Amino acid sequence: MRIEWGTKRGKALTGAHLCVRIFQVASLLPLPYIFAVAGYPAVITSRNVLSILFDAGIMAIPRVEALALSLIYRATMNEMAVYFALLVVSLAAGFTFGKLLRSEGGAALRIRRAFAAFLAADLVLRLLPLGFNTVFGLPAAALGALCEAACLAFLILDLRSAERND
Amino acid sequence: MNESKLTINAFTLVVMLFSAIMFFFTLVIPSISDWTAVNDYYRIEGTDYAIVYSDRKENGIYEGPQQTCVLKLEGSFGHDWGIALEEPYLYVNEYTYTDMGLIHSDLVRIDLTTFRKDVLFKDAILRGRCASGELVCITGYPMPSTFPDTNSMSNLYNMAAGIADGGDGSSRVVYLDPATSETLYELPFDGAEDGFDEAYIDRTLDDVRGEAQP
Repeated sequence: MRIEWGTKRGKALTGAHLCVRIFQVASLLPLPYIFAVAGYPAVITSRNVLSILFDAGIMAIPRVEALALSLIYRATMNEMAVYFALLVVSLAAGFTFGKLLRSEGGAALRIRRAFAAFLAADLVLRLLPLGFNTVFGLPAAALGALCEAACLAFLILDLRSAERND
Repeated sequence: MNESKLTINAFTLVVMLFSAIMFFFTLVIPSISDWTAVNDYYRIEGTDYAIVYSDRKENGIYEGPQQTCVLKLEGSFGHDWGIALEEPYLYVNEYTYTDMGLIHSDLVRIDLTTFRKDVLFKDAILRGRCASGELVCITGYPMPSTFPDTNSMSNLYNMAAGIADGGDGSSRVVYLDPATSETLYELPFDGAEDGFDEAYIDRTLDDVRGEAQP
């Protein structure tokens, strides 16, 4: 009997799934910095690759989530709370959106539309000249906006192809 | 390709589990502010109280002489940047520390009769009194000790605190009435430490007000 590897890998990666993955990876990017600083505090005293990854990851996640993380940090004064909040959000989003996007009928389409609307609103929010948008500097902010715009484009293309198939 | 979603979820779960083990059972998080042993006693002029920083007992406001002093209010209160007494209130910076040892400053008012503490401004530094006696503080201001200017964790903190990088006007110099703690006047602060005393501390409030208004 011949075993065929990877037969389930034939399905195309939809834009919505790609968005969820970008979001999950962005949520994971700040973790090495926090982990390294917890073990070796001198890391925090210099600009390094881990801090650049941190900035890029924080700016790539939705502004609403980043602001919520900042509020958690300010309220608890605890870096570990931020660390585990990022992990929990990444995991919850992966499972929840994965399940919703696999659902039958119009539910998957509705969740895509809601996701696209949320991303569009968040994109507008991050472009406003508000104090919390300017904290991490222009390069990280531009990268974050680019990531979110790409996610929105993937979702719109995904929605179009789903509507064509219907 | 669809299986890679499961991989990210599984990876996240594994990271979470191992992190929990590392952080809660094996890893001791050192504080970057605890590199030296400290036992300092700063008397608050005009009172029988002192601000104490010590590794041997709690930081805070103590009553009495150094050897026999009694703790009245716990907290890391500042004696370095600015402190002002206006009976019965003591205006002072209170330093708060994150788990990793990053320092943030709040301006607090302490009633020395009841030792009730009120936070007047979060993320603010009291710089003292101006020439006409009003309190001068900087609000929306990150502590300069969190270098490099500023590190990623400080930036994350600053997001919710409304502190923007690069002195875009989110920091303000605020003049307070020491008797009532009311704000009398405020103006944008450009973040420049050089010449701060000459510009805001060594002059009267009327001088500062007069110069700001054309």
